[in-house]
Amino acid sequence: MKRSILTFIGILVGVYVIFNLIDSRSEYVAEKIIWDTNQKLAKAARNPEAIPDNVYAQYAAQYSKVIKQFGRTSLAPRAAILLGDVYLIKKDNTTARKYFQEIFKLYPENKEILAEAAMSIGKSFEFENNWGEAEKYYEKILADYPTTAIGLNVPLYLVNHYRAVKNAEATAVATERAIKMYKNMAAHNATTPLGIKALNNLTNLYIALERWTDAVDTMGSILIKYPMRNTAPIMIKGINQISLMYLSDSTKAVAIYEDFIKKHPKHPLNDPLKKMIDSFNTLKSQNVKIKVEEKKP
Amino acid sequence: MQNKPNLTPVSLFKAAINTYLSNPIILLPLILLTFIQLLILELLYFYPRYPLLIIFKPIVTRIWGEMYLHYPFNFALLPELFSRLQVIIYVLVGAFLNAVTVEIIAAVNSDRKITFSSALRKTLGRYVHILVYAALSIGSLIGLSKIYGLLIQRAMKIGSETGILAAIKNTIIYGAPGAELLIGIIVTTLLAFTLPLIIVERRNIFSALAQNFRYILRSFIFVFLLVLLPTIIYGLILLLRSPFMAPISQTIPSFQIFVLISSILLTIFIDATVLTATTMYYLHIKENK
Repeated sequence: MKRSILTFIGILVGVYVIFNLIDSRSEYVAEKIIWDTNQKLAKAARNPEAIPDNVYAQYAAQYSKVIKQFGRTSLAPRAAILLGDVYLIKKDNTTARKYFQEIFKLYPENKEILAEAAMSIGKSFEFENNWGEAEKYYEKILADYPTTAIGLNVPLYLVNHYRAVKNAEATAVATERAIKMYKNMAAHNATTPLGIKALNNLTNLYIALERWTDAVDTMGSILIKYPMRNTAPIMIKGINQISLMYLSDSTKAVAIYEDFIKKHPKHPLNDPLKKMIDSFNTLKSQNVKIKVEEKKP
Repeated sequence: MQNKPNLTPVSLFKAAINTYLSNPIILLPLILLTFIQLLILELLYFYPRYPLLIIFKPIVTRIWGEMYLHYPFNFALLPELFSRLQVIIYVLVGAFLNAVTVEIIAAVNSDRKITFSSALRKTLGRYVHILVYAALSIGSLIGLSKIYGLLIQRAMKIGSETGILAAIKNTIIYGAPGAELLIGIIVTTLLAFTLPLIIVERRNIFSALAQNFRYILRSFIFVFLLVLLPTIIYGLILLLRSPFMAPISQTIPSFQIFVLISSILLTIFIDATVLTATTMYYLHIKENK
């Protein structure tokens, strides 16, 4: 029996070794290295000063390993960003920027990653209170990678920054530019996901600026142009909330829903929308207003 | 039937352990079954990687989603994949190897000389009956689990957060792993003598089932305790699978593998003890008939 047990163990070990050898350079192995290192890095980020330099060097070595040994996988560019992040967490901004800059040479065709690298360089300058340098990189994103996920958020990011530092003039300029960019992008990409993303960001911008009527109008156009199952309920909820809580006027919401029903006569949401129109009209006839209490400081 | 005054579930439990420890050949079919299960688990461990990815990619993507082909989500799917394959392994091979174990126990009990290969050959002739028994046994287990699932669904609808209704709701929902174990114990008890009857008396499945129920009706509590005693240890696995262990699974995804391997290894002990004890008890009943 001992021989049988040893044979079974031998087969199990052999299979393990063979399968590991067959597939030692795959995306899965890279995923494991990245996930394990990310976990450790996330812990380090909670108290970066307490982590010794050699530990940061170990994390960096893991990401470098993915870049070098798994260069053909789609995870190598992600590892390159994470390598820079190690030094951002360590608060060694100069080294972090060196690694982010390398990404421009390593992956010149990957616009999403290049935009992310530029954003991280910008952030590293912000950590040093150097807005002037940071802004250059944000402008670079707007010029070179405006349609990437990061690029799409930069106009909103700039508006929020200027509002946070209470620079009214810069806020106005950034806002005007953001609105123009999002509207242009939505108009030129109406049939692609970029169109809806641009309109969503425009809505978020209006909400941040408390321009409630513009926010409802934009959500209304998203609802009518993109009546998909995953977006329509979110838009309807947003329109209802803003109309009741901030505008205290349901005229716009009712007009949007009537227009929606007219343009999409067979849409499954038409019955609930008709009920909502009735409810809004009842609230209006009874002059019901919802008051939003201001947050106590 | 009347039990001898000194024959208790505990004494039979001890006698069963002593029997297979002094006759390790009894364990050989179960060790082979363990090896098969570990090999399947090992192959499943490699499913998100080449070359197994070629087979698993379309299946996993279609049924569970593409994310389960990536680390660490594959570990979340692994127990589900393994339990599905375990059903197939049990029906096709597991029940047969259990039957081989019964054949060896019966031979050991009557001081007959037996080898693993001769037991295998002898049992092979009963394969069809064993296959039907396995399908019936696993079908009952799945059926009862589904009924318990319906009970959970009903409990979820209970709105109370306090009082007796809330207590019932929480017991049904949080007691699910324990209830599954109890269902397993009851099914094993109800069919306890079927395999010995198929193997020792060479009965066909229907006659074996009928005779099994006649025996069980007279000794349900005794056999239930006989099955329960070794199975209690499986509580350790339930503990490893409990929500208290969720933080470990989240930080160490491969913890799932550890739980599955522990479960497989522990099952050798449980199966060996239950099979030896119930077969010995069956032989005792037969002798005293």
